[in-house]
Order: sequence, then structure tokens, then C-alpha cells
Amino acid sequence: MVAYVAACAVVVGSALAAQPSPVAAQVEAGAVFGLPFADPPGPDTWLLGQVYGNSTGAFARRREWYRAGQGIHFGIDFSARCGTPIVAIGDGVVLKVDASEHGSAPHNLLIAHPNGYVSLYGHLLERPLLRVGQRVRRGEVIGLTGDPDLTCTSRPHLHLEIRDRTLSRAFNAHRLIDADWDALMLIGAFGRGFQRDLDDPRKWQSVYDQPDIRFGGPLINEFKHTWPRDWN
Amino acid sequence: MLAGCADAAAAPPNEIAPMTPAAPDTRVPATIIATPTRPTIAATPSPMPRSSPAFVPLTSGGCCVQPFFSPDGRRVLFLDKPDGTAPVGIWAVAVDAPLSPPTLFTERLGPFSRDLSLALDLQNGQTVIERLSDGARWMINNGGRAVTFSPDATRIVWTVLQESGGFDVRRVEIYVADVDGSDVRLVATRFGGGPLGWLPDSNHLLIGGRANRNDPSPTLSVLNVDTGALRDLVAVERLRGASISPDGRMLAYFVAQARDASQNGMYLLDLAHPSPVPQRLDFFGSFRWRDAGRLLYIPLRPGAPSDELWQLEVTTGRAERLVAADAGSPFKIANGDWDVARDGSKIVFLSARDRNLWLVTLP
Ligand SMILES: [Zn+2]
Repeated sequence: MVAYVAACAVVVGSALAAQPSPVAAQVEAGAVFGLPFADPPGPDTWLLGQVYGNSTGAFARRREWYRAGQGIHFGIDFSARCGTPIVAIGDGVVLKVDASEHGSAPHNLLIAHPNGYVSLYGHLLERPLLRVGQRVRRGEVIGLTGDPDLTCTSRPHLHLEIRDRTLSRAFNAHRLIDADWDALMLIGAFGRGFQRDLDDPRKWQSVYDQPDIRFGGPLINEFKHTWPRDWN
Repeated sequence: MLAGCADAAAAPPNEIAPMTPAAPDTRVPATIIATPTRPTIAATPSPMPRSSPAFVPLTSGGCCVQPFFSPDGRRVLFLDKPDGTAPVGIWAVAVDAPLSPPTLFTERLGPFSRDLSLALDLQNGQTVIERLSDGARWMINNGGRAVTFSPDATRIVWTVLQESGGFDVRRVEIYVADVDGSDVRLVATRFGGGPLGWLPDSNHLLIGGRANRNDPSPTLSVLNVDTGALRDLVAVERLRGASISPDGRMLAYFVAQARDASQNGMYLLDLAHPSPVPQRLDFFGSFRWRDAGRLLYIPLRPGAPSDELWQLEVTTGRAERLVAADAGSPFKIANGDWDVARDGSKIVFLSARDRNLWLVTLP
């Protein structure tokens, strides 16, 4: 599995900007972070929602919701009831609170980590009770899950991104968070499929080989031939 | 949309996904919300667990996601383009010829009808159905929406989803037509739900959602698409993963993150009962029907050395472990990809260990 992921990372690099961020080059590799919840997954706690990457759901919204992220889902969604405590995925310092320019309304939180990454926690229920510059420890409660539709009955979930220090790139968070993604992907009411490029249908078909993105870059999934079809 | 990095939010974790089945499959993803009460079926573990069945590799080199069995169960099919010069299409490996090179099954990609006689396509933004036996193609006048074939491939269903509003209360119009595109009719409107699947008679749809936007909770109902007769079954909050048994008698599903936490869990519902009561199961995990009376399931056990496969006999509540966890086993499923042969004799899965397809003949 490790060799597989490493090989795919080369593909990822070539598919992206010719000049990778120098910050990104300095960050640690491997699953250096933990999950954003203290409790194990389950029907009473949280479950994996939409994965990071070129999911069929993200592809369908590539020109609207996900255009800024080159057309793919640039974070991981964890479905959870509103008010579920979220914990820091690593030690760090609060970088921003309610930074609406980074999306994920109604409230978000960014934590800078000493390893060069920044984690973003989105769609929070309320403004986190943290101030910029405050230190947080891995596993410490930092906020509560909310619902982007503000009802707590529509689609309550945490949207979690891992970016570089410049906030201009988002990384495949599945590769950076130590979790059994294979087990988590077993559960779900909607398909776990990734959109196919029919000229290269094996590309990006694992949660581990989804490409990193550069915010504001061109769409990377405007495939000439694709499957599933681009239904209305 | 915010400039820069807006995440309007992700295909909502519990949303009504567009009706685009990946394989010949009569399930239709959807979500509803509600509130069951029920006795628990406590699975009774078998006193004498059998030894694990053999794992047979079907492919090598890593290849194929979303595998599914051919209707006769003799082949495993998957969308692929094995090398740069090969055509993209549905490729097949024979279950009795493991590791033999895959052969091209069809260059049509589906979704297919259950018998693989019809394929769905999109041409110039219009939905087209193709009969694979003679290549006949015809257009469906539904605005380029995906459809789901009835089990006997004589009918189709699709939905028109309101574009805005909370996903739990969005209006969903459910349309049915004959498979040739004629006799289009709006058979039901729901809020925050949609069709969950055809019943085997191809005459009834299981649907969920609120009948009226302001209803306190969604309801599961069986709809006769000929007469429009609607039979309400039960109110269920945050129903997910609905799967109808092959004989159409039972529904398996789960509830997660309900406002009333006591409702969370896995359930069976007797669809034939005039006023069914959801029966709680004592496991939580991935599940597929083996046959009318047996549900296969894989308990959610993050960090376990491999997956375990269990079988529940629905009528007796007897549970039996068919595949035990084993660190050296290929039985660690990737992408949630596993399928059961229609005769219930075998499963195929994509292994997270080597990204290949593996076959298990069930005891
Ligand atoms: Zn998201």
C-alpha cells in the first residue's frame, strides 16, 4: 500500500502546478495527524461522509461548489450531529477564527501546525471560543460541528481541509490523517465511486491517490469522456 | 459563492444522491428521516464457527474498482481499459479461470438493466436507452436525467429534484415511464426523500420522505405505480443504506445521528406486513443480501487486521461468522467495493492489500 501511494504521488505532482509550493516541499510526509473526533466512528457519533478528491458527487458540482479547488472535493466530510465536539488533529497554534474568505460557512477555524501544515475546520455550529495565537494540543476540543444550511437537519457535517502554510494548496487529507479509511469507506448510503476519465479510467480510483490541488487553478476533471455520465 | 476557497459543502453526507446506479442494481440512494420503535433481533452467535473459506485472486497487478457479478454469476465485470491500446468498456474475468487475462464484455458502460439487456447512455445532453442485442437506441424525454430500470426492464423511474433548500425538505418529483419512454407520469412528490428501490414485481416502488414539507417526520411508503395507491409503512428518521431483499419482503437499513440517539442502529423491516415494526439488529456495518432469508454483513471495526464477514438468518436471528479476521488475509475491502453473486454462492471484493479482485465461495 505504501509503495502504491508513493507511486501515485508522482502522478499527483505532475498533474498539478509545475512549481510546487516550497512550503509543501518542507512538510512532513506520512499520516502525521489524528482524526478530528475523540470518539470512535459509529451511528451515535460520526461517520465518513464525502471523501477528499474526485468523487462523483464533487464532479457533478465541479463548476460551482468546487471550482475554487480545481473541481474536486478539497477536504474530507465527516457526518455528525450538530454540536458534536471536534478535536484538533495535531498540536498547533490558532491561525484564524471565522475567516470567511476561506469558505466553509457559517464558522470556521484554522490551526497552524509546526510541521508546516494548516488544518481548517468548517461548517462549525458557532464561533469557536479560541483566540488567534492560542496554542492547542492534539485531541483538544476546539469547536462543535454544524450545518452549512443552518438547520442542523439538512446536512450536518464537519468539512476538514489540510492546507499548506500559504493556504494556497490543499492536500489529500486521507494520506495525512492516521485512520483506517478502508474500514470507514465501507459505510455509507451513497456510492463511494470516483469519477472516471475514460481515457485513463484507472486514474484517481483510490482514496489514497486523489490529487492535491492549488486554489484558483484550472479544473483538473474536465474530462473529454467521463463516467458516470454528466447527468442533469 | 465566496471567492477563493468556498466549500459550499460537499455532497451532503446524508443527501439524496442523483439516481446513477453504477451497476445493474435496483437500489436507489436516498434519505429520509424518522423514528422507529422495535424489538431487537439479538444475533445468536453460532457455537461452532467454521474455518474461513479460501480466497481466490481473480486479477493481478491491481486494476478494478466497483466490480459486479454477471447475472449468471460466472463472470465478474468492471469498467476498465487494461492498457493504452485496449478499448474502454466493461471487462470480465471468469470466476472459474482466476488470473486469466480479462476479456472485453461490452463497450457499453451502463448503467444497465438487471438482466444486462439494456444500457443507459447520455447523448447530446439527452438520456438514451440502448438494447444491447441489436443496438436499437431511443431517447427518453426527461431532460437528460439518469433513470433506474425496473427489475424486469419494462419501466424506468427518475426524479426531478428542487435545486435549493435544505436537503431534508427539498421537493422531489418521482416520474415513471415505460422503458420505451412512453406513458410518462408523475407518480409521487416527496420532500427530502425519493425512491429507494423497485420491488421485484416491477409494479411497486419503495419511497421515502415527507408527504408534505411541514410533516414532522418522513415516512417509508410502498407506491403502486399503476394505480397510484400508497401504503405507508413507518416513520423513520435519518434512514440510510436502504436495501430491499431479493424477494422484496424485507428492507435492511440503518439510522445514524438521529436527534433521538436511541433510534440509531441497523434495522430490518417487513415490507409485506400491514403495519410493520422495525426490528433492531445488534451490529453496525456494511451489508448485502445473500438471498431472501440471509443478510451478509461486515461489522465496522476500524483498525482491525482485516474485515470479518458474518451472515444473519433473518427468520431465526442466528448469526454466523463466515470469514474471521486474519492479519495475513486479503479480506480488507477497499472503496467499499464488494458484491454478492445473484445465487448467493460467492462474493467478490476489491482488496485494499493489493488492489485486486478476490473471490470467496461462501459455505
Ligand atoms: Zn466538504
